[in-house]
Amino acid sequence: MESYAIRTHELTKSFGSILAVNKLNLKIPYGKTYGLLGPNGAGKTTTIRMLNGIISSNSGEIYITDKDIKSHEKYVKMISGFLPESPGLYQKLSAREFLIFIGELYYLPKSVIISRVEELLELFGLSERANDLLEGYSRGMKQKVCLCAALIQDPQIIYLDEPTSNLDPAIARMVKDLIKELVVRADKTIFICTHQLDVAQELCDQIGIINNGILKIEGSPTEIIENTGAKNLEDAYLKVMGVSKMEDLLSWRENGEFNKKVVTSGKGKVKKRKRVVV
Amino acid sequence: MEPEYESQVNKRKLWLTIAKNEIKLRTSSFRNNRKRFFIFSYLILILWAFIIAPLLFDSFMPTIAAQNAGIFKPVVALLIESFMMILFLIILMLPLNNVYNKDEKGVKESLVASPVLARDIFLGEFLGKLPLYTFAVLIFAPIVVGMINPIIDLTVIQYIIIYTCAFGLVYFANLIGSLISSWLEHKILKSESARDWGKALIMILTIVMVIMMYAVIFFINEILMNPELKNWLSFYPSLWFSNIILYGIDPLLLNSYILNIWFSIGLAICIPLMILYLSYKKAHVFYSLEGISTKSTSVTKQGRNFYSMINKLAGRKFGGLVIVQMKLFLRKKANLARIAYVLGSVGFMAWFTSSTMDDYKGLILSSSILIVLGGLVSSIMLGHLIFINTKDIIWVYKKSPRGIKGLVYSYLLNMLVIGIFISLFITILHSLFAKIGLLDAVIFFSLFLAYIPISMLQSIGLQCLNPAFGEKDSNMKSNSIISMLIMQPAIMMPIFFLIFFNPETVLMMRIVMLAPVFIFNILVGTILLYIGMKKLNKIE
Repeated sequence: MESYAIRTHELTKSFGSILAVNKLNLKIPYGKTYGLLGPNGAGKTTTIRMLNGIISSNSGEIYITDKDIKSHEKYVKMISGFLPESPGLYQKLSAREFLIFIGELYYLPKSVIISRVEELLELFGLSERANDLLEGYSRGMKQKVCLCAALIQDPQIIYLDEPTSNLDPAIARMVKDLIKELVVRADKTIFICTHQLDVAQELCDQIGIINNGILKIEGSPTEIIENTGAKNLEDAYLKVMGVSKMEDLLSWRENGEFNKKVVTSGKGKVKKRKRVVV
Repeated sequence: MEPEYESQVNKRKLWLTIAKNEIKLRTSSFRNNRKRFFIFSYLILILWAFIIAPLLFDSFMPTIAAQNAGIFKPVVALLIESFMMILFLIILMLPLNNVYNKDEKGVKESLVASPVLARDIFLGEFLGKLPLYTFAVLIFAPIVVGMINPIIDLTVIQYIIIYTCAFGLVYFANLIGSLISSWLEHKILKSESARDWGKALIMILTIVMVIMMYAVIFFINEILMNPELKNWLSFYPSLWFSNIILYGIDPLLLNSYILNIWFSIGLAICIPLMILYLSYKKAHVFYSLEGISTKSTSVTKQGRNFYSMINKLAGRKFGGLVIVQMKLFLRKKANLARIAYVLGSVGFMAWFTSSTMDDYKGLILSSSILIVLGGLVSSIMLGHLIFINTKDIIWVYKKSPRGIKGLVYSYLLNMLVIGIFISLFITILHSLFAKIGLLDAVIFFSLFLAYIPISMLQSIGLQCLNPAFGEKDSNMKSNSIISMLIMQPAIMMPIFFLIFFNPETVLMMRIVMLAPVFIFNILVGTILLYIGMKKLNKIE
């Protein structure tokens, strides 16, 4: 049987009556970058949480490096790094303290933690403010600290939920380059959830588009574009998801109160709306 | 797993890491001098506990004990019991206060994604708080010791028992508080309404605490004469611990209780340990992100008639805005608890003032004070909430043609509507307690209702000057303190003018006592609101 970094079989998760992920089958080889695309509420974050062992599935199986997550949860957590969608940090710790704490949670030896923390702080340009409390950090800086935390134990598989969404262009570029380097030089497997199609197209070897918990299409960016007969990935995404026609979007202007013109009094107060032909 | 880490995995106790982190979090203000902070604080507290407090209490307690020899022992017993009851509630509420730190919510995801087990998180967070809670023990236990010392010469064993009971009580309260807060955090991740329930819970506990304090102050004679009344509270944990201390003073003090010394010792040891063990084993129920996106709170169409009535009363210009304000206000359970707090505290005042005044003059004075206190409590508890969670919405108002006025006036009208219900409730209570006639009740209702928005003017004005967008903002505290200071003359005015003018007729009494208060508050409130709104309009 072929070996995969991440493999799921008929993975299903529901919250009450809401089916968040429906029979998801993924096969992600070692050393590849996989991008899961989809609109808000499509099931991306639920998928990434199940793959990390943060939440359990209702049915189906997850194998990380061919080990069943149910019986090897601790191992899976040890070899996985995770960047959550919203930067979760203890506001009353400094960046250095927080990273040391995370390092200790992953059982890293003290000496390794210290050197890794300094390396990562330096890499992400946080060294100068490493002793400041995180409550004073901007959203982008917090995102960087979270990225450092995701990489601290040098994980074999890295899960990134919207990795560049809060970053300025220079740091976003650096993160994208870092992801490429991690794959090429360190043979890491990277799983990205994102809305940013350009990020997915640039970084991902394979892409899956998910909607309402169902994986609609999967393949390399080029394959997806070809299979959907689209011009580019954005066009392909829109074709897979389906979009409203422009005339539908503005139909409300044809009728109703908004066709009335605003008439003001001398003092600038709104007196009434007069109906006008658009 | 790489072999070099395997031994570490087996050796490392993650609950210890979490506990250390918890200490770091709670002492972040001293992060450069944590060790010195602890050494210095403990030195001072030990000095207080074993030298200063005994000297202080020995200087006056023996005299009090000698003067009140007959009742000293039961009074001290009651004071220790009530003191420990209140302490239990205070310590229980402390972890709840940290639940609402929204920014730390996301960190849970990172924690659960790491190899740390839920029970390690629970145990670590619980143990990490203990060094700080020990401060509370070292502050309060010497007070208990100081009260007992004039009755019996405490031996070393008795000292140890008292301190053990104090530690047990504080740690158990912390355990219960941590459990409730963890459960709430778990619920918060599922739904925002849990956050609201948590706040309501804190308000309810505060109300319980205030009731306990009042009960001890006002019903001390009844409790002393009927000690068996406390059997109703046998389930309350602090009594298990205080019983052990009371037994040390005099075994007869426990005679009227269901819980004898052996039951008390059994409960004080077994229940906390059992809860700690069960919580440790079942921690995964609290520390899980399962079901995170399941629950959203949907609104029902209940109260449509009520809102339609409000819409008509507020008029076309403000109807819609007032309804929005009212929905925002009433959908928060914490605000309902606040209204209950206002009703409870002013209702108690209604009972207290009417029971202490026996002639008509006294009755008018008591109703005037009640009107002023009602305005003060409503203004502080409700008026200051105008900008809570409106940091982003404020720009929506500012951009709209109505401007900030739309927000301020609609909130004021909303408070007037809520004021109708508060006034009605207090009027009923006041009428029952003071046995007043219909006309007096109508006058009282009208004046009470009129004074609520008048007193709100200054709290809303202060908020406009210095807005607090969160309940824990420092602005909230400073505005509330300023509010209380401004209201001080208003509380004193009725008594002062009554003595100064000594009016003869009822009408003159009302005018002399209330007119200056109303004028004072209208003037101060209008000026503050005017300046505040000017400032708020320039907010950038």
